[in-house]
Amino acid sequence: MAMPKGKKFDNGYCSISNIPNAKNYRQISAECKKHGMKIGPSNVRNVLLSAMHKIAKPICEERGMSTREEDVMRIAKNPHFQLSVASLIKEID
Amino acid sequence: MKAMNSIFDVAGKTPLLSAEEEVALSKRIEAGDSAARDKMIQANLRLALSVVKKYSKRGVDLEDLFQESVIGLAHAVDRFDWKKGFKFSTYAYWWIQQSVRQYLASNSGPINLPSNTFSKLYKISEFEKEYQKEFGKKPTDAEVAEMFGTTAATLQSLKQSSARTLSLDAPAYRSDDSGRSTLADVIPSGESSVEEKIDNQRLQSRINEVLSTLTEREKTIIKMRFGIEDQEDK
Repeated sequence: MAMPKGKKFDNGYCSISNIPNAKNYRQISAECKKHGMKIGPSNVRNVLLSAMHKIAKPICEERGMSTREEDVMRIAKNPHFQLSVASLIKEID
Repeated sequence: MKAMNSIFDVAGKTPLLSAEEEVALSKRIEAGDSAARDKMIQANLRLALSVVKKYSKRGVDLEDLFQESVIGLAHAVDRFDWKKGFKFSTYAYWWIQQSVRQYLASNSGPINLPSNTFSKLYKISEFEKEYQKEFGKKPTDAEVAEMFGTTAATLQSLKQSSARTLSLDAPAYRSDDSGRSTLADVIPSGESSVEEKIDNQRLQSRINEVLSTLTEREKTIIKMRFGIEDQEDK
């Protein structure tokens, strides 16, 4: 059954159509399988969100923001935050 | 302002013309009577003033605007065809308005807009006023753009080009007669303070630390998700 409208963002889904070469979770899963890393689309999302959570937590601490699990997760799921992290990784690489 | 007052005096004292008088004067103008032409112009100064009043809050000098309206009026007097049976004011109104709008287009700011752009902006502002009156809210850019058969981006740039400019040396407060505080003094600087810079540097190094703790799998997925690797491959 499809996810109810207006809930996708809350569950870590956002539009990536305007980012060049970006992949959705299904495409990432397929790509990983090709390289011998067996991982389902939902697991891809879980790994991404856990990585974002890892990054969001120290930022929240640094900025004196709430470090409650749900608050940190809300930031981790935010597409703007995710894009900023992606651009930082790009810079470091 | 004195000049404007005397114009108001002259316009107020000159009686309006009846339709018959207009025709009689027009016939004399056709025959080359310059006194009749002057009389026709003088008798319709009130019409020119009414148009000027409509456009008075556009940041241009009122006297200049009036002069332009009289040029439009004179043009209308020269071109008026009494044989068609219309009242002169009906015909002259459009010439005066056109003349005033053209003047406004080229003098209402440091950026000179083409007159067709100016008239489009005028129509847009009229539409927005009407919309607000009818629905009690301002129309969105997308609605206005659809109405005028253009895109929201074009509309945005049209509006930006018509924005009024202010000098940074202008006084910041109207009540400040001393002129000490200028806009340049009170507009906040875009540069971040030293505290902010240190804060950002600390945050940056903290993020870098965390990024280095990400597993290869996490990094790969983030890169794929945001198309970083693909861009590098290319």
